Amino acid sequence: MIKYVARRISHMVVVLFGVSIAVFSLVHLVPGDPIRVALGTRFNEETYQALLVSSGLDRPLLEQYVTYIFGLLQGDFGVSFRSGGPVSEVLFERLPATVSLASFGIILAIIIAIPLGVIAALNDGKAADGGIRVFSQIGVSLPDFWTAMLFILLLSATLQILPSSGYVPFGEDPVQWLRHLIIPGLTVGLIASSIITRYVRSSVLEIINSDHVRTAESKGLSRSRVIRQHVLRNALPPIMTISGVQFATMLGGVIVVEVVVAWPGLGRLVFDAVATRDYPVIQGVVMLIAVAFLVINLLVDVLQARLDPRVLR
Amino acid sequence: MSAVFGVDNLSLKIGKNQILREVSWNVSRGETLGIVGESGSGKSMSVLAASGLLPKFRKNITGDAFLALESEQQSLLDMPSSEIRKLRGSRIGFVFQDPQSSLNPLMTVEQQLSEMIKLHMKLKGKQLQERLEELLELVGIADPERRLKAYPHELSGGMRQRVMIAIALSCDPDVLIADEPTTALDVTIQAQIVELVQNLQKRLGMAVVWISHDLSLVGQLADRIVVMYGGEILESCETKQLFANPRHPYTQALLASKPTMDKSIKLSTIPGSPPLTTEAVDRCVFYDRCQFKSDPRCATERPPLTAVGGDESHLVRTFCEVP
Repeated sequence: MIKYVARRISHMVVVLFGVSIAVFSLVHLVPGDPIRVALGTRFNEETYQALLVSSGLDRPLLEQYVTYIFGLLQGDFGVSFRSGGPVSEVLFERLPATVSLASFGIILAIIIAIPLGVIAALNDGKAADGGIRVFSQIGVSLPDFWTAMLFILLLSATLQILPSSGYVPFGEDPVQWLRHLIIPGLTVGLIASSIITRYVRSSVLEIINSDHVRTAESKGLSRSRVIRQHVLRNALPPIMTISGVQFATMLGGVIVVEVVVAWPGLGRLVFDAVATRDYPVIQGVVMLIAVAFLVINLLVDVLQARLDPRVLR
Repeated sequence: MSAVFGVDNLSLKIGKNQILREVSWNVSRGETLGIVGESGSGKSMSVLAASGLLPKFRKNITGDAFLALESEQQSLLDMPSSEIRKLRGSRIGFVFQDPQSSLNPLMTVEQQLSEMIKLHMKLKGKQLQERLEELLELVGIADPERRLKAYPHELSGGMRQRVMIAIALSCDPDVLIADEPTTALDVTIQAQIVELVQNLQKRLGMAVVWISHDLSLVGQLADRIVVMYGGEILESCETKQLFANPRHPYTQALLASKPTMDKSIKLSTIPGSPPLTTEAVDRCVFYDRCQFKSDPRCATERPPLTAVGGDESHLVRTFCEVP
């Protein structure tokens, strides 16, 4: 197991290196002059030149990249063009809002998806299955900003039980934190749940028709034990994979939803950073998303290896 | 000898397809019944239907299945599914074809073996551990302590099937259903498994229903044989009688298609292929592939199951008078 994890981490380093090259080149390929945007109305030739030199943008691309990568290795993500503060600080400031939203979303998604997917699979082809598939189809098809607006309309404007936007840190007021979290959380959670439900359904359907489930039935085990021990447990690996991907996606920031409900998370941050060509911030967010993806995938794989002894073979 | 397990006039119709048609057989304690047929002949289906393992098609099943326990005969098809569950595993043990796919890949041998013992025999702790080791020894698995901790993929095919047999026998069943238990195994392992089941039957005195497509294999181990085709029983009698005096054209063709060591004799085959969708027909179910068709009723009437020469233990469903 330790060898397996070590091998996976060494792969991760290679992937992250590749990601850093890709992001760095992409960001510099995007047209638009970040210094001009950052200066705005305060623009004059002198300050422009001074900023260009201090940000290092006047140097050759390769040199800029090498400087960036060495900074990264020391935990230095660079300095934001816009705020002038270190990128790591900006990221750290935005992280709690995004982690709150992503955790709420994924937990809600799994709580909804597993029972729905199992019910759909057990009633394959019947009315319950049809209903759940329609729900999941709607969830996948609706644009997230629209779903968010519907929730705002219902819960905030009409029923007036929740605030329509904004964020309160957990440390400040847990109750307000939760109240603000519900609308964006419901939005991302429902979308993720409709995707995960489909995986649960097909995975359970595949397992339920397998020979070892017939063996379990032939042992005279109760229906619920057969479903829990022999069907659901064996159906879990693909469900864990897709849930991990969904969670990582949310951690990268749910850009449109965060913008709609004024959520100060990473999605909002990257949205603003792209608008202002704040290269170091864009690079920082993307690197963070890449790390989140890789770490979560590793966690999922380790869990799977615990569940299925054949993985480590 | 009184029958301990059997089906009586069992039919199963799914949509237009007549999967089983008026199938009756039974097996007594200490006896081995062989059910022989090609794929799709319904040989496994009659057993699955009788033991409640086709819950989706419960409504499509007519006829009866029974299990006789302590001289009291219980009808399995009238039973609520919670009741029949209690009999499965405890009174009827199952061994299926492919031990690779029939064992749960994510559970150790110990987990798979003990869940049934815990459920039906309520053993735990030291008693459970002793029972587990005893079972593995019974099926000839050396070093039981180590094997109990193993996962199915860490065992060989023969070893896996031994584990399946240990599971099937773990609660001392009255009936063992062996559904093509050796088909997925090497020939040498196949012989070991056959011998193992025969020895266990002698020691434990249970009834065995051995389902196979291999007539010569079943010929070696069964006391009586039922030959099935297209969801129907075509012939049933004692094993010796079947090989000495087969009365159905299909049985004869099956016996003739057994390979011999003499290379000059061409292997005989049955022309055509078994029916894929078996709609119930008013003629002999083997009509299309039969080389005799010696009676005009073959094409217009379904032959009844009749006793050969007044011998009620030898039944055959044909109009043809075969040589």
